[in-house]
Amino acid sequence: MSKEILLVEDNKVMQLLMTKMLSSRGYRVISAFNGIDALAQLDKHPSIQLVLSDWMMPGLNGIELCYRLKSPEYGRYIFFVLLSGRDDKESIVEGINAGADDFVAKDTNINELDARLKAGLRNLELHNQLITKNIELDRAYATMKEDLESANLLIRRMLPSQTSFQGVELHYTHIPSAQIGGDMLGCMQLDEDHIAIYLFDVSGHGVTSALMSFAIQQSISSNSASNSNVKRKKETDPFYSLRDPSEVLARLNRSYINQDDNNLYFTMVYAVLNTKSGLLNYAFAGHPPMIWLQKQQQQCLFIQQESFVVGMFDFADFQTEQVQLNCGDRIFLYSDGITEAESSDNQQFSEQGLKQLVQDLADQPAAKQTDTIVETLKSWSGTAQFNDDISLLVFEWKGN
Amino acid sequence: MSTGKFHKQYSSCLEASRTVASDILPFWQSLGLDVAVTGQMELCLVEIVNNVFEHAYSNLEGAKFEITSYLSDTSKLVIEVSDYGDSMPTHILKDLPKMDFIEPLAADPNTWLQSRRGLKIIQQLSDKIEYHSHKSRNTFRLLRKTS
Amino acid sequence: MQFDIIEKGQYTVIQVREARFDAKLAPSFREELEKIQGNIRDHLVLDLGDVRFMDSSGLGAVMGAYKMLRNTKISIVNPQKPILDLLKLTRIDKLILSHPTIEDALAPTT
Repeated sequence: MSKEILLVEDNKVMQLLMTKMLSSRGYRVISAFNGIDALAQLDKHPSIQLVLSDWMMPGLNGIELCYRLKSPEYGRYIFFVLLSGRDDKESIVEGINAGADDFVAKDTNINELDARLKAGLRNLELHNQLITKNIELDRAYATMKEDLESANLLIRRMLPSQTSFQGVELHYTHIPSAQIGGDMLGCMQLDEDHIAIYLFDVSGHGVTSALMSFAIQQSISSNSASNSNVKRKKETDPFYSLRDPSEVLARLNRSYINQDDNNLYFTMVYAVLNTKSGLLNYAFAGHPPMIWLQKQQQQCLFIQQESFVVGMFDFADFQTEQVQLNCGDRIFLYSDGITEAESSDNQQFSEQGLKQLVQDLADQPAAKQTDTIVETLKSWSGTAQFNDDISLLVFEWKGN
Repeated sequence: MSTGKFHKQYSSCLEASRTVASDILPFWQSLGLDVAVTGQMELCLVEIVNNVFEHAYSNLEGAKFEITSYLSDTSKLVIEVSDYGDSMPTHILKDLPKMDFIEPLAADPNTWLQSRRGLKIIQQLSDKIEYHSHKSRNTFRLLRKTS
Repeated sequence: MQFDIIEKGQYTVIQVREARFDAKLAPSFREELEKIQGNIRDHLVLDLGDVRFMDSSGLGAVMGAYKMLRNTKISIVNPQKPILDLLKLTRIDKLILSHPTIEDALAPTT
C-alpha cells in the first residue's frame, strides 16, 4: 500500500521541515497550506487517504477540515491525524467530536509519529479491504436475488395456462413462499374425454426443491409423445392408452428415487377425470386428502389414501381408486402449506379446518371460493406472507 | 568599549544554544557588561533558543533562526530571537506574570515537573519581555537594564 | 554524559563531569540514571562541581530523577554560584538541598 500522506500546515518552514522528515521515513508527502487547499489537493490526488493536519490555520482550520473529511458525504475514507499544539488540550475533545482518528503533539519525536502514521495505514488497509468485501457481498446478493426472481418467474410459467376444459371449470391459486419453493400443480387435456389434474409438493425449500419441481413438471406434462409418463403406446388404434394414476406415480417414483443424500422426495395426488362420465380415478403419494364438495348432498368428504411418498422407497407401490362425481360436485386439491398454516397462538389450520371452510363456502362460485379460502388463511395466520407455498386447485364437473 | 551589534543566523538543533552562547558571550563582554549580568542573560538566551527548537520548530532540525543583540541608547541590553516556525499562543506571555514558581512539595507530584519554568526564569531575570509575529516571522525580545 | 560514581555506605555519589547541564545533556543524564536505577542507595548525591551552566532542562532532569527514585533522598553538592542562584530562583532548593561539600551532605542531620 502506498505511503501517501497529505500534510496540511500553513507555516512554510514547518511544512518543509516536516516534509523532509516524513520523506526520510518513506512517506510520499503532498502538502497543502490550509484547509481549503487540503480539499483541493485531495481532489487532485484521489488515492490519498492519510491526512496529517495542523490545528491552527487561517480559513478552514484543522477541526473544520476534519469535520468535512469525516462527514458521510465525503466520498472517501480518510484517516485523520490532528497535530495539536502543546497547550491545546481543549482541542483534543473538539477533535474527538470532529472525528479525528489520532492526535500528535507537534513536538513528538519522529519515531512515535512514524509509528502512529503506520498504525493509520494499517487501519486504512483494513478499512479498504472491508469495503471491497462488502461490495463483493452486495453484488453476490444482488445476483442471487435476481436469480431467485427469475426462477420465480419460471415457476409462474409452468403453472397451467389453460384452465377451461370441456365440462370442467377449474381455478387455482399458487402463492410461493418468501423463499422459492417446491409446490407445483397442473391440469392438462389427455384426450377428448379425459383431463389429468395433479398437485405435488417437493420437500424442503430453496433452489434444489424448485429445480426438482421443474423436472417433475416436465416429466408429467410432456405428453405430446405417445410414450410418456401419462400415456402408454399401443399397437392398435388409438395407439395409446392412458396410464392409471398409480402407474404414473410408480413411474415417477422409479425416475426420482434418489441416489444422492439430498433426501428430496415429493408428495403428490394425481387424478384423471372422465369429463363425459364424471368418473374420477386417482392415486395418492403421501399427500393430504382431496376435499369433495358434494353439491346435491350438501356435504364435504375427504378422499384419501395411506400411501408412500415419491422418490424415497424403491419398494413403494401406489393404488388407483375411483369415485363417481355428480354434476356440480367440486374437488379441492391443496398442499400442506394451507393445512399447516399456524395462527399466532401456534394452532394449525388443519385438514378439518379446511374441510369445514369449504363446507361453509359451499354456495359461493368456485372462483370466489379460492379467493375466500386464501383470505381466510391470511387472517388465520395474521400475515400476508406465508412460510410455506400455498397451492390450491379446485375443479367442478359440469356434467355432460 | 564596542558599541556594535551582534547579528547571526543559526540552524535549529539540540546543541544550537551552546553555539549561540559561545558566540555571544565575547560580544557581551566587549560591551563591558558585568559577569553576573552576562551569566543571567546567557541563561535567558539559552531558554529562548530552546523554546524555538522545541516549540516553534517542534524539535525539527535545520530550520533557520536569528539572534540579534545590542545596547540601546538608554543602556539597555536588547536581545532578539527570531524564527519562522509556529507562533507562541498569545495567552502564554499574558498569563506568565500571574504564575509563580511553585515550590515543589515532596507530597505533591504535580509540583515537581513544571512547564514554562524556562519562561518564568526569563521573566524573572529580565526587565521586559515582548513577543510578536509578523508575516510568519516570530520575534522574542528581551530587555535588561545594565546599570 | 561524562560522570563518575562513588558508592559509600548509604550513599551513591554521581559526579557530573560536564560544564553545561542543559537541553543537550538532560537526555543522557536521564538514560544513565535509568541504567543504574536499581543500584542506587538510599541517598543520591549529585556533585555538580564541574557544572558552570544549568538551565530549565537541567532542572527538569534533576526533578525527573526525583520522580524516578521515589524513596531516595537527593542532594546537590559543590554547586557553583549560578547553579545555586537558579535553584533558589525556582525554589527547587526547598526540595533538593544543596551542600557546599560532600562531607556536609553526608553528615548526619542534627
